[in-house]
Amino acid sequence: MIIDPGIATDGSRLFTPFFDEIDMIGSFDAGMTLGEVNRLAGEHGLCFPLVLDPDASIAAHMAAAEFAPASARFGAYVDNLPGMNWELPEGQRMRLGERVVKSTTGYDLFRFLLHSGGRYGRATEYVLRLRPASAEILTGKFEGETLPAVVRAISRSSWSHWIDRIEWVTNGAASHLEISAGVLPGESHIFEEYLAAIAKTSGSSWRSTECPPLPGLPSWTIKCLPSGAASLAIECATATGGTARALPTAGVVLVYPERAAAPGFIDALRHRVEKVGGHLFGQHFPPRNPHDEEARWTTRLEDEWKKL
Amino acid sequence: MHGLTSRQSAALQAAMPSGRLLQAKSQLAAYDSDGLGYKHFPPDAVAIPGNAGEVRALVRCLGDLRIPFVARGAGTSLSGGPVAAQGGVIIHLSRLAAIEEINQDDAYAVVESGVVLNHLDDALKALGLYYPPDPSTGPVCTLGGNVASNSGGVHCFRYGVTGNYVLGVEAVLLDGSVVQFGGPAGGRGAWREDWKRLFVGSEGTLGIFTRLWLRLIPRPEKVWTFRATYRELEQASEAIRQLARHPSYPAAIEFMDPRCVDMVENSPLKVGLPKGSFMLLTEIDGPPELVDGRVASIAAILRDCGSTDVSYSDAERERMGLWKARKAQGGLLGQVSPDFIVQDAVIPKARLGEMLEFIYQQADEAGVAAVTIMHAGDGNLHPNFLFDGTKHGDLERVELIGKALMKKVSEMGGTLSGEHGIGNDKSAYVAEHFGPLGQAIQLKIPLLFNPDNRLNPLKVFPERRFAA
Repeated sequence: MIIDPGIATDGSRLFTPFFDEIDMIGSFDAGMTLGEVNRLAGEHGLCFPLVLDPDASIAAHMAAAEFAPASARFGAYVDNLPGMNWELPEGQRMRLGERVVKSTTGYDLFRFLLHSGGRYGRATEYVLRLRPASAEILTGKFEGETLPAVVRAISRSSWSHWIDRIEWVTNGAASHLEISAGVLPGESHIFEEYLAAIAKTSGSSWRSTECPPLPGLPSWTIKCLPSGAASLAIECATATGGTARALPTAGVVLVYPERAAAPGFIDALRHRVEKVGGHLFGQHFPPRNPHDEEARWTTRLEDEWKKL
Repeated sequence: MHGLTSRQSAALQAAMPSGRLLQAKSQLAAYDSDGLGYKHFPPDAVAIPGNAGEVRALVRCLGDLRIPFVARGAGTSLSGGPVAAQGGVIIHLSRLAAIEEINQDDAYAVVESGVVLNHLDDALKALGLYYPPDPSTGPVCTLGGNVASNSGGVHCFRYGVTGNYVLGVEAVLLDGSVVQFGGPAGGRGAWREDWKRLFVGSEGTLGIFTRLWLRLIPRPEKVWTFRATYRELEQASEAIRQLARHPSYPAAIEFMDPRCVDMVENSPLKVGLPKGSFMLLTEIDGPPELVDGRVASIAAILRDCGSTDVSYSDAERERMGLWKARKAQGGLLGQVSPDFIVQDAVIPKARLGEMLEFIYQQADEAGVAAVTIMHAGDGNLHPNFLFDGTKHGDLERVELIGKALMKKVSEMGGTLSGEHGIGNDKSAYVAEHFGPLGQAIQLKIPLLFNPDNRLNPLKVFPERRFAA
């Protein structure tokens, strides 16, 4: 099999279209939907697991969120997209990152720019790291008053490495946990037994059932401490009359508001999460203004890149 | 720099606690190279601060004196990173060795940058927690050095590299100010941009790490190790392909070429591998009730791809026995050869055969011995070239091979370094790898934090020279 290097030889060093089934990696147009990506990848027994909305483009996903429900197992988008072609505001195009999954060559501009919200340019193509598609997906729900105990039990065992999604879903008034795991043939009962045992010891109920599709791209997301994710989700859902989904093992909250929160809510929330090194992010969310020290760096960066 | 002036020396003495500024030639000798070994860059002095406050004061003093400086942990880098390539002062950070917090509820650790990797691992074991990056120098390497070079290790294939576990960094900048990017929650904190991402893997060219927030995960309760050998590369390659795609996600897939296997088998550390064979070693881990049921399918892959000597175990002693050949090879290189270079590149796995052929051809033509290992899951290749630096022309021959190798890696769509960094060992190849625009945009980053290149000059990009 001839594998395309996937990198232009004309001096630009841009990514060129490639799909490498052996390395489980490929380049995709930024406008392609993740549903389309997964249809193509599925022909090779592969998938890109970090999907929020199969009908939304890769670029739209990067603009909306830094995490998806499957980040509980596979990590953030930055850890699953090894590279991209980037267009600066003045139109020059360059490659950032690599077409292999591991690199420590030069400064990590790729990760710095991936979710930079169009301030320094835009991605035109992305390189995605794909994963083996599971033959079978086990889904189900935990319900009851002791959901924190369920989260604690799962997050303190290496079972958490094997559960693709563990989501605390809330509308502010009521919450449940949705679980999803890719399992090998013949393994379903092992997962079922484990989850049933967790339910028994925690005093909650577990049932294997279909989980409804996600409500699409979130309006904003919060990166926070894992232990605070569920309570933040409840707080945000209540404040916005909408729903929120916490990833309690990753410290992430995806927020789907129905109305604007009361004045001061966002500022107070931002202050709380920034204090512990977290942040708020989203496509419908104004980025924070850089303070003086940061403004010096960002202005210099913009000026220098304009000179290229 | 060509030595410190008496004024500079006196000012540094005054800035440091007694006994923690080394200037005697015999003291500096230990700092003139890193794990790369064969290149020597004597520093003018070595300063050993005891805490972040002393680092700040020292950096300010070095600024006043216009002296270049380099941060260094245990000096185990294999890229010529933490050496004083342009003279000046090495800031040795091993006294910043406190594990300040291990938070079980939120699964993170706060450590000073001089903490030794395995010391953290020892502290985590008792709590059932795990910090997966595991470079082979774990018993001595420091976490600050790991973050600066975005280190990897044998379990990267599933668990990822150091950068995947850095929630936040505290760094002293060139002017002696302190910044914190991220923190226990692992986001941006009170910054608009994700500066942390630029600092991880920046090889000490943007700031000096003093404190780190590291993500932890539950430690796998059970591990199975498998070893197999193959007569043909095609068989080993097919096993690698199938293992990498298996939904049990092996944590490690390690490869040794026949020359490496023969080196082990011709030594007192031999383990009984067939000479001339390709060796694969793989591990799966997880909860026992899950992982035990996956053993048969992994063993079947190894057998079905043509191995007749598949061994596997979940017992610690036997597992270490299976690892022995792989672990022994690093030490053997130093025993069988006066000098060696460990190269580090990542290639598309489908090109492994072509790359091995290229390495053998280059090495054989130059009369240089080469043995190759690989973190095969992610295509991270380590060809080791053995030479004698005292023999005229030996080093030059090896460097020519390195140059040809890096060119080939870039042409294949690979990258120059997967886990060692660029340092000054591979900086000559960076321009061609990035292309003119890619290189130009990279070089804008140090302008923000290190505009006159006084911090770790001549690393990563050869243009980064400090003009005194």
